[in-house]
Parts: sequence; C-alpha cells; structure tokens
Amino acid sequence: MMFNKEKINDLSLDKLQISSSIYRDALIRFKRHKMAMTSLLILGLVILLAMIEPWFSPYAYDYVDWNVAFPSAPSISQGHIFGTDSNGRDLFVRLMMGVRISIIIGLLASMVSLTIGVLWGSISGYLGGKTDLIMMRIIDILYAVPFMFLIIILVVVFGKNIYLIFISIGAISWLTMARIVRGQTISIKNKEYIEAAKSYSLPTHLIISRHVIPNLLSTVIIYLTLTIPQVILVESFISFLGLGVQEPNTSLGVLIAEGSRVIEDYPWMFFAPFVFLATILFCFNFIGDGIRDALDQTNK
Amino acid sequence: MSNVLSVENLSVNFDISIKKNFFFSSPAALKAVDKVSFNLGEEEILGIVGESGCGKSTLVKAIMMLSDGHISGDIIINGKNVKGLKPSELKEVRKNIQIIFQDPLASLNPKMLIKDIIAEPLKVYYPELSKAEVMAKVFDIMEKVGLNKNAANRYAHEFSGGQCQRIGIARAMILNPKILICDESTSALDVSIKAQILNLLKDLKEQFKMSVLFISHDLSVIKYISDRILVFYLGNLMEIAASEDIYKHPKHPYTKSLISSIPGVASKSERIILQGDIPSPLDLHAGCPFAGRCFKVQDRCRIEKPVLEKLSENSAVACFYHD
Repeated sequence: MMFNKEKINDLSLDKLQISSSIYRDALIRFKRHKMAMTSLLILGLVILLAMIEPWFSPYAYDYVDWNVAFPSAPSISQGHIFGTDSNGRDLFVRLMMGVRISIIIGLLASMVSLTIGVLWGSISGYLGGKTDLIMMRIIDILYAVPFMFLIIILVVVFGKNIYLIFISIGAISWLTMARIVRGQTISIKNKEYIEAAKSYSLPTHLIISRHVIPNLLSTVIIYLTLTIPQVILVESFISFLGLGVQEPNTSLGVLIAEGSRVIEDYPWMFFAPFVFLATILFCFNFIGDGIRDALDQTNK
Repeated sequence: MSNVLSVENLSVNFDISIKKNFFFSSPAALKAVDKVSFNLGEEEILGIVGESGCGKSTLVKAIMMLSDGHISGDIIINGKNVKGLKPSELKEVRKNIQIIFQDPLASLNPKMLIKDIIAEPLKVYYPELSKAEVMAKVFDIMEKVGLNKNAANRYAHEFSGGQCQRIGIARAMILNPKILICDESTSALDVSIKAQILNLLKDLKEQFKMSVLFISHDLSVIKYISDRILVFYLGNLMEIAASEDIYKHPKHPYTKSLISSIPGVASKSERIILQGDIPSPLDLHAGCPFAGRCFKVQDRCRIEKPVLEKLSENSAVACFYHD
C-alpha cells in the first residue's frame, strides 16, 4: 500500500474536516430565502390545522346541523366559522378534509413522478442507443393512452376508489418528467467530468447517481413545483366529473366546483376553498423557488 | 529504455453513414486517426502537436478506451494490449493511465466538494480504505500540487482556472499512475498560470517517475515541456523528432511551416504561409494528406502516400522530399 501511516497522525484532521455537504449547505441557503421560509411556515400551519382538526372539531365531516339554515352564512355564534354548505354540513370541517386529500394526492403523485421520471429519464439518456429508443417508445405509447379513458376503465374495473386516483395521476405525471430529465442527461453526459469519471472506471450506476442526477436536480425541482399544483388541479377536475373523490368525502376541487355554482347567492362556499387552494399552490411554488436557489451553489 | 505505452497502426474510424431512407444508407467512414504508431518511454514527456481537428483528442480517447469510434490496431499499456479487455481488466489498466482535461472547470463536477472529487478515483480502486486514510492521501496530494488545505471543503466554481487545473491534476495523480495524459491541459489558462502548471507537471513527473503524453496546439508549450515531439496532421503522423532537433532542423514541410509560424522564430518575409484550407477528412485523396497545401509538392505526392521513414534512433518523417 502506498500510504504512510505516520502521516495520517501528523495531519490534524479534526480541524480540517469541517463536515460540509451539498445538502447541509443547501439547507443554510434555504433558510435565508425569506419567501420560501414564510411559505413553508404557512403551508405547515395549514397542514397542521388539517391534521389536528378532527380531534377538536365538534362536527363530523358528514354531520348535518338541522339547527341552522341550508346553507347558512359564516357566523361564530352559530358555531360554523365558515358557514355551512347547501346540505347543512360545516364548511370548515369539509374544507380541512379537502386540504388533507388534495395535499396527499399532490405529494404522492409528485413523488411517483419524481422517482420514476428521474430514474427512467437519466438511465435512458445516459445509456443511449437501443435502450434509449425502447424506453422512449414506451413513454410515447403511454402518452398515447387517453387519460380520461384510462381512469374510466380503472373505475369500471376496480370501482370508485381514492387510491385509483393516486395511481392514475402518478402513472401519467412521470412521463413528461422522464422526457425533461432525459434531455438534461444528454447534455450532461458529454461534460468532461463524466469523461473523467469514466477514465477511472467509476461504475455506471455511480456515474448516474453521483454525477448526472445531482446536476439535473435544479431542473427537476422547477418542474416538480409545477407538477404539484397541476396534480391538485387534475384531481379537482376528475372529482368534478364524478370519477374521483366521492360524497360524503370531499376535496378542494369538489368544494370549489360546488361553490362556483352558487357563487352569487352564497359566496363563502366558493371563496373559502378557493383561498385555501390558492394559498397552498402559492406556498408550493415559493418553496420550489427556494429549493432551486438553495441547490444552486453558484448563486451565493 | 522500455516503453510504457506503445501504439501500433492505430486507426480510429467513425461511421457516418447517411440515411437515404428507411432501408438504405450510404456507408461512409471518417478516418479520424489513420495508422499511427509511436512509443512512450519511461519517464519521458512526449508532446503531440497539431492544429485543431487533426485527431489529437480522438487519439487520446482511443488510448483511454473511451472512444465511440471503431478502433483498429494495437494499444499496449505496460505490456498489456488494452483492446478487447473486459471492463474489470480495463479498470486495472486505467489505474496506471490517467488524464487531465482541457477545460479545468468543466472537468470538475459542480455539485461535489473538492475533497470528494479528488478522493473519488481512490475510493474506486481502494474501497477498503478508511475515511481518515483517504483524507490523509487527499491532503497529501493537494499539498503536492500546490493547493491549500482549505480548498477541500469548497466547490469548483469558487476557484480560478489555474487552481481548478491543479485539482484536476490532483485527481489524476492520486492513483499514482505511470502515464499521465494531458489533453490540451494548458490551452484554457493565461500565460503566467500556464507556466506554473507546466512547471508543476515537470516537477510531478520527476517526483512520481511517470511518463507524460502532452497534447497541445501551442508550439511554445510543447517545446518547453517535451523530450520528443510528434507532429500530427489530419490524423496522420508527419514527423517524430527530439524536441531540440525539431525546432532547429524541421524536416517535414508541414513542421517547417508550423515552426515558422511561431512569433519571433522567423522574420515576416521568411514565414511560410500555407495556402488553402485543411481538406475535409471525409474525402481524402490517395496521396499525402498534406499535398494540397505543401510548398514542395511533386506529382508523386498526389498519387502515393508517404510512409513514416525512420531517420535515426528517435526520429522519423513521412515525406518523400524531406530535408
């Protein structure tokens, strides 16, 4: 071995090894991003509220309050701070349920999109040749399947189920991600640091995970922040058609759809879910902005 | 002097078939490197000089077995023919042959810390090393290439071109290779930094007792660092000679014109200015590749291709009418 053991002791390693990693540095930069931190705080509060709401709320989400008008305007004295909907159910309780469902769908579907999309795209782009051709044609075929048709078939075969929405949204949202990642990978793979890694025979999976993926993360995160709101909106659309979330369950999309029909007479039924959805989407966008800036260490 | 690297009749061709329709394509090959042979001796610095696009980098990629092209001929590194080796065997060979690239910043991963960049080859070849041992080795090599220890926990973009090139050198040298290939390693640096890097390479060569294959289009750099020089033109070897001789007595007309183009070597009236452009490597005629631009051209040059003629122990020239 070519090492001199004494030399190891000579160097005062503890002083030099200021442990610092990309992600720790990124965290420090993220904390400096005011808009992102504020958004994270607001989003955290909204999520926390949605989580703990069932524990302290006097009403269940499907409880009909016969003591008030159908629907009744927001009123603290009646105990319905956001009023009730046209069936006399407490709007705040339903809103919190909608937030839970929308956020879970948004996060889960984006995680599916992120994982499959990044792996598929980077492997396809890096290996190139026949592998690339086959992997990209599979994506083309999946693109060609009409999305609504897929959901209708799934609903017919498996019945109406919230998990079907997760699966089907996840199954389509990674396609675009994979294409974006593939394009980025192709531009990265001709860089000299990849050549250098090959010159010391770094195994291909390590080249992809250490050299390719970290360098396309900023693009991926920009796209991911666009995916989360998009997925939440897609879910609203599917629910609006009656294929997604079913009564008495609800989601923000369903609440907005119901509210929009009676916006002139009972505006609170529209504006309450609208404000929550808009806040959530804003927060995700700003957090995405913050993460992107944090991961780009040239932007100090 | 035994050879650490021998290249024999090496040709690199790229398939550039043009698809006419779905079924037919007109086959065509681009000869990037054409039947090149040379040796690299122990502790020798061999310079390869040639203009842009003459196949220098293709040659390097072929030697490193990183080329996409079709390679024929033999590449023998430390007595082992690297052609047709399995990846695991190739890995062992590559341990002894490392490369430094042209663009110092582009050759370092922007998302990795300097210490991780330098340590990576070591971790590939010696996975059994403890963290402390790896770091000791990293600091050791950083000191040898003239990098401050504080650099370890920083990113590549925080450094200047010269420092980035030192990091690249450290990454290549950490495996203690027998052969170091420098692919235009100084052409992206400004003059004072260039001199520092060249001196560093010379020092390291003495210290590590390695051989260096130094590729450049810059004649003054090549002259300063090399023991022997190969002159390349359109994928062909034109002349091999010791560094001193080639400047004093260039034999090939192409070498002559190159030397006379160095500022300060020839007076303006003596300068040989070549006519025409480099021919496309796609449609090379039968004769000497330089025939179209040569000032000594005869009829024979256009019909017959001159082979490399050995003149002495370490010089050779590919020209019928050399001096």
